[in-house]
Amino acid sequence: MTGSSQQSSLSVKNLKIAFRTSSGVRQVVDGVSFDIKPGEQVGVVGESGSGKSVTMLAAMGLLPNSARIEADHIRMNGEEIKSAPESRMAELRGAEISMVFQNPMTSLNPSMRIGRQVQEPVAVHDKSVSQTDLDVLAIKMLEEVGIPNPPLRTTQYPHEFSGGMRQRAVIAMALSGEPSVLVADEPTTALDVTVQAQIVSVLRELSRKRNVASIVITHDLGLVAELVDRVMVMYAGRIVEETPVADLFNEPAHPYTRALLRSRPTATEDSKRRLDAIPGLPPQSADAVPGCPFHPRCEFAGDSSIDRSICRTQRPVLKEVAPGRTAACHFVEEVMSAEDTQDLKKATIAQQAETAGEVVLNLQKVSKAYGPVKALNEVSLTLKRGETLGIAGESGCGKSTLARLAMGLVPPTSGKILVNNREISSLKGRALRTARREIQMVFQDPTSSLDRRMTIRRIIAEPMGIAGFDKASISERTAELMDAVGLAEHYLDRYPNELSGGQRQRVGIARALALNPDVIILDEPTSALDVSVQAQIVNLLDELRAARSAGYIFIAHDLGVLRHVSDRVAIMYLGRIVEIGEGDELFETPRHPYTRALLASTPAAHPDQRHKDKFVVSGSPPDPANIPSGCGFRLRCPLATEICAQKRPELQTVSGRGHQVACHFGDDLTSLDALSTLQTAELQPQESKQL
Amino acid sequence: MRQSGAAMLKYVFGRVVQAFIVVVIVSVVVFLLMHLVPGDVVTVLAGPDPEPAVVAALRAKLGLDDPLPVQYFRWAFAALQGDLGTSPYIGRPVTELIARRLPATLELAIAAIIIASVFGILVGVIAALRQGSWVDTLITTANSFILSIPNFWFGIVGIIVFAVWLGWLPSGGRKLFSDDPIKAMQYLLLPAIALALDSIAMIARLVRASVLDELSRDYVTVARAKGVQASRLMRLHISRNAAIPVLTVLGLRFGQMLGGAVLIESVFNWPGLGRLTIEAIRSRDIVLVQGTLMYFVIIYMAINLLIDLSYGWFNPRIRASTGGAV
Repeated sequence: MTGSSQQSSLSVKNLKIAFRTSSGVRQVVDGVSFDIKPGEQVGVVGESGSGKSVTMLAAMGLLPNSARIEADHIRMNGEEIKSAPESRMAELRGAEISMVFQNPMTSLNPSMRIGRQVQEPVAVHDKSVSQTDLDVLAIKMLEEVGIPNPPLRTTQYPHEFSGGMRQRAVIAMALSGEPSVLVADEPTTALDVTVQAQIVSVLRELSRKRNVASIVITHDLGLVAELVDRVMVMYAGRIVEETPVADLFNEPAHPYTRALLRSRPTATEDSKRRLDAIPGLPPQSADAVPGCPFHPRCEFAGDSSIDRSICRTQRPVLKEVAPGRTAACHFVEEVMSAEDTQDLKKATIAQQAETAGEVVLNLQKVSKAYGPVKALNEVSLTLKRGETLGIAGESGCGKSTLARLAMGLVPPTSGKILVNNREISSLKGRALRTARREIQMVFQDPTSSLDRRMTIRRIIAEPMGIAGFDKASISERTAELMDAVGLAEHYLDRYPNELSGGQRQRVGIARALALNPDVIILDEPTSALDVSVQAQIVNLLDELRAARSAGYIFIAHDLGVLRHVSDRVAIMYLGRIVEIGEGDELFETPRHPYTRALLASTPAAHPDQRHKDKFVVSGSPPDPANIPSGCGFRLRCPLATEICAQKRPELQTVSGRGHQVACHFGDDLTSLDALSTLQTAELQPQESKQL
Repeated sequence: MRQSGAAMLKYVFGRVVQAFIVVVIVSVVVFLLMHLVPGDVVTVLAGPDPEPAVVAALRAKLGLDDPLPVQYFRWAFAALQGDLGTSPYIGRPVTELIARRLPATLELAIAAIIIASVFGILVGVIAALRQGSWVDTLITTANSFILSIPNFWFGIVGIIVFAVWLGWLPSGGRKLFSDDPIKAMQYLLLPAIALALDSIAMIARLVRASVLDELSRDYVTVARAKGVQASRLMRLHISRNAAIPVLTVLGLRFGQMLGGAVLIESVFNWPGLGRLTIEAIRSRDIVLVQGTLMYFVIIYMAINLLIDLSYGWFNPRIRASTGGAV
């Protein structure tokens, strides 16, 4: 870990953090040690509750008073800050260590001009700097993070910035005090995928250029592959593995790391593989599990002829497993020599598309406008029983409007929506309510979509009660549904808050299945879940799909998940479908520049792919109230020519298997393939164009 | 792309139009009031057992035989020019009567609203920063106590303690600032505090909730991560965001106070509009009641309008959402 004589920017030894709660003391971090060298790029990977954010907040002195912090030392540039007073910590924050938070929509003060917020770290630490110099600094910082027209932008308020621009401003703000350490807590999680790629490159360039040590906290292994040199994997409040980033992907030394890698669907691999979900859930606190905290979920701790009782009784300590690598596992050698993670066993899932049944949902030129905002434009699509149609696109592309229209929650402005060949757009009152039973929805956030005052039994039974089922058949069907979604029957009398996120999502799915609908719409059903749990839900959906009782529409921004679950995929942009086709064909030979941009923006599956030429698209989608003429994507498209401004491309079939694309260059694979070699210099942010 | 000037103008215009519409509707209601009450001005002016010819002449002269809409427009047009009619009992123009009482009401309302904002905000911020401590508990309890008792009771207690027992302050009446500022202050102090008390409690509660809400937001953590310390955090970051609900209530309270504080004015024998209205109601002086009502509505709408307009300054998103969004 150490070994160099150079002074660490941040050094933490044996950090322990506990929170006093109403139900006693909860240990959340237990014995974490690390050293960050000047200019080093380090990733901290772990699921929610692993203690990764809390550790960094403790180092910054930002934890609430209910936290009890112990450590042998916490040193910033050699200075002991373990028991430094708040006034000293405030001096260090912003000047020596600063932080970029997850959600750019909430991390800026809504009523303060961007410029003032960006210059504030300097303003609070050095009162001698004049207002003029502060303003110059703010402009320079915005320029550095690639925000066009900085003099104007510094005078604006956060609501005048798009999400990506806000996160750039947050980064500018974090760097303006010239700190030696930058902590980035899930810096891209809340952003659209094309914007994620832009933020990743800003972070990468600036931290190198300014020689800032960066600590990137994330659950996303792709982000780690893109950004950092060294990775610390945390589980249950401890570091379980610390390693150079390439080794992590090539040869994980801890079973948890290995399991995380294997549970991750990626956009670049063949889709029909059953994911290796990690069974069970992470423990609630660091001391909840005796022995190795991961052993209840570990594939190496159980089914072997060798005696594994040590995993249950003795806590493994971090030990060196190779030069510069440590791991906390009793069976490191075995884990490292186990089959290569890149060659995953392929439990193939039956192909669905060919055997799909009759059409259950049919949209014919459906449009929806909210005032001047055209949320959906002449979208046509069909969904067959047994088929899964994936829908991808950035925020504001019309995905959710499409879902609401198909559910019959809002009427279309024009066009027809047919469910089982019956038009629902003209139905009203009781007829509409009955028709809605044929379509059900699973929501993104399983916490807010379940009524917390109802038991699981009532939640699942409610739609059946409304539909007029009798008591006996409700209780029979409820038991069936619990079994189908893999929940034990004793959960029926619990309340949602007693269940984990993954279990709640299973309840949401069971409720959607209750009335045996013909269409199920899943709106980002896994994006609020931890990585290991996401794989469990994806596998569950695979199983349900195999029963082929319904057609599924799966809306997601994660192309890896989407490719994995979908038979066909539709890519949406500005309220239109710009490309649609069978999943594997679409992902292997994308025909629309936007699809290519989405794919290129997806974080690398492996650090080796990091420096490949990439087609990173600039800016963010234009305002749907003010759509450009011709092709909606042309302002961000390097291939755009005059024809793109004059004529809107219609969807055209480009292959025998129903692959359709709406691009004037959809047939020109040479130009499309050349996209990745285009100089990024041509692709500076063009947001000013759209504003 | 910088349209905030135009957006602001549009916002102001929209609000002014809204306020105008409300005033017009209320004026119709107030005007009809006169015709709902049995008997009109003529029955008063003509005295008991009048000659029918005299009544008819008077009615014709006053235009009471014209259709209602005509009468309304005549009345509204006069009101626009500041003529709210003449009180048949006192025999003076209503506007003059209101203008005579206005300084006293204005003085009391301004003093009370200043006391309410200063102490309400101070106490609320302290309670929020010390959330869960004994200070917080004390403040919250005191607030409930004050809010559950009508403020004239505090007025009476104040008179007993400070005027009767201690003899520090006068028990009632008003002195002019122009004559003797110190005396005037002494006469103003007790009624102003009594009038402000429940507003202090209400503002303090609101400020506490509002500040706590802001403290839990991400941007506050971000500001702390930049090295911003508590006093600057409160001053530059939280105050503006927490201001809107507080401002709304302050405005509503001030509007009510300007209409005259009937009970407090009675307790302290304060010659304000509240007492004028009470006297008008007692003597069934419909013209005067009508006039004070119209004054009250216009003042209330004007204050509300000002508050609404100030939202735009406190919250840039409100400006944007009313047009010119980027």
